[in-house]
Amino acid sequence: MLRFALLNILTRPLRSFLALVGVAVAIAGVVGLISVSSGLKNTMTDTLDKVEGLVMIEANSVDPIFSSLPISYANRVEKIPGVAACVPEYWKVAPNVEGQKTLMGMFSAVVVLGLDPERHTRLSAGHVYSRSMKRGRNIEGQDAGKRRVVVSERIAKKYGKDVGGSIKVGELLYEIVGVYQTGSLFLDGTLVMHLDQAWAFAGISGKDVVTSFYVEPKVQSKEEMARIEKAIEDEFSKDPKKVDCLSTAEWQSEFGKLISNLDVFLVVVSSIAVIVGAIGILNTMLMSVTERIPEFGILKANGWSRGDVTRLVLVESTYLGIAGGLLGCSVGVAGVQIAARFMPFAPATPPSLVATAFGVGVVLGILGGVYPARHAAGLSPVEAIRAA
Amino acid sequence: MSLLRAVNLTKTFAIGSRPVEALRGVSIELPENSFTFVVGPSGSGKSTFMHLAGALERPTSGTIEVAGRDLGALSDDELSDFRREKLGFVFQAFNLIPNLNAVENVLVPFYAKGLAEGMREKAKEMLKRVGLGDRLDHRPRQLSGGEQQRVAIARALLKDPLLLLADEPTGELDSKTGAEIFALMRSLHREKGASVVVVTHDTRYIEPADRVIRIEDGRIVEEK
Repeated sequence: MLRFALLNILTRPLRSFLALVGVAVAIAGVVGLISVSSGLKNTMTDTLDKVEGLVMIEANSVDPIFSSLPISYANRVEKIPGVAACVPEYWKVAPNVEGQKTLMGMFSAVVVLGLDPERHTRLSAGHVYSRSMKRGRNIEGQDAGKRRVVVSERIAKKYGKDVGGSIKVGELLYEIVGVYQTGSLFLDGTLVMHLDQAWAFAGISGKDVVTSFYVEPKVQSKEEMARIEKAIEDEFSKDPKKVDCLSTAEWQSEFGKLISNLDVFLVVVSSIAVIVGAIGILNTMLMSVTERIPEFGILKANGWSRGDVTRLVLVESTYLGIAGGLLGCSVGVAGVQIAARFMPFAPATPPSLVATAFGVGVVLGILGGVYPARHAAGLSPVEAIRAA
Repeated sequence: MSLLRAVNLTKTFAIGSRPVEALRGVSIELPENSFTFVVGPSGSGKSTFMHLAGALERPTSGTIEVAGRDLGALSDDELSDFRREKLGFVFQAFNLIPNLNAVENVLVPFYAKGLAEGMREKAKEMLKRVGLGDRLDHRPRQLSGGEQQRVAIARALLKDPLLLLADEPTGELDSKTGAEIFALMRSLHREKGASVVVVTHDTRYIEPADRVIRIEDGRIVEEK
């Protein structure tokens, strides 16, 4: 029976191939989509793992970019017990680098970060950028009043720049003094400069407003972080500008919500792909069965029972499911590898995903065969043979 | 002992909402090792008789026994087993499976339950016996009509059936090839001892020793 089913598939190469492609496309789509989403998730988790402290922003602003707080808050935070240091940061989107727009792609955005180097020396673990220097030096006190930046390796490569060169941000030209690489997709889109240069870039003259603060606790523990977070939020609860303090864990849960929305979307898209695949294989099997009605009549006349014919059609569709699953997984994995070269982050294809996708292919094959198998098995041998 | 015994066999079909009586009370007995012609004009009910004798359809009323088994009392699966083990069929349109070669077509009845060891060799032997030793790997479309019918005969006889049922076996063949096919069936009949029932409206191949049953309008009108 297994041999006979295989023979039926191999001796009808075009139709078998079409059915197989139907399943493979669905499976490859599922593998590709889920790989990209897992990769995105990993990238976000990587980013957050690199930032150990708390980020303080204006209450109800989604991102430091949209936040605005008085710089004087830093001193008040540093007086809270358990806080080792509080350093102000000024974040600003750089919509134009070297005359090219940066906001066109989700992952090509460039932001400017203004730091106060004097205050940064108070951080015991340093800052994520100061820890990730590859060449040149970090922004220092001597850079006050000077148009100097530290750029990421990615930006340096993209614009063909390096230490000693200069880069045009907006309308202004900055000297590159250092190159860093954190390896995080989101962090590596930053141009680091002196705080007063970030203000100048943003066109702010007052020098008393920042977007956010980075707070380093003395002890790195979940409980201590939660305590400090509460203390900081209480400290500013009566001020006109209240603050939100977010730990890495909280950022992760915020991103988690975003990702779970993305997951719902992916599940919907994958389900559609799988349903299309199932309909494809059902259609092919049904066509194949309809076309072969006289053949099933011959089989039945020659002693094949209902069960035998059902098994034959199911085995054939299972073979197609297995082959389609294998092809789909191979194409999906290969496609993801190729796509990875053009993507700013690495997609993740865990073996469990491939195994599940393959399983889905096989199940698709079996399900696609059920109705046609029942149809073929129920034919009367005489009528089936007459259909020739 | 009789191989086939039919008593008051009727078969009614519904064509649209109109019932059509294909057989109207056929009673007949065929001895073992006989060569029988069932003749009659088109639409006389002779093919329906063959379908009932071949366990391909169930009678509307009456009983039909083949090799002592009451076919009306068997379940669908038992009928399948009976066809596979005891009966061989040869059809007018050959009814080979187009994507299988000659050897594979001969093995078709056996694929359902798995090929026993040596079956493939036996199939090749049978094809050689019907004169197709050099056509083993040919697909039906690469074979002439006569060759296709030889494959069908080989398929029917590989299982050593008790009864070979042939429905217009020469209907699509020229007279020379038709004569060859009958010669082949007769020699296998003598060799294997299987009873043969040939349903045909072509009476040229009847020999004096053969039994002849004439059916018209669903009734036996002549038997000798």
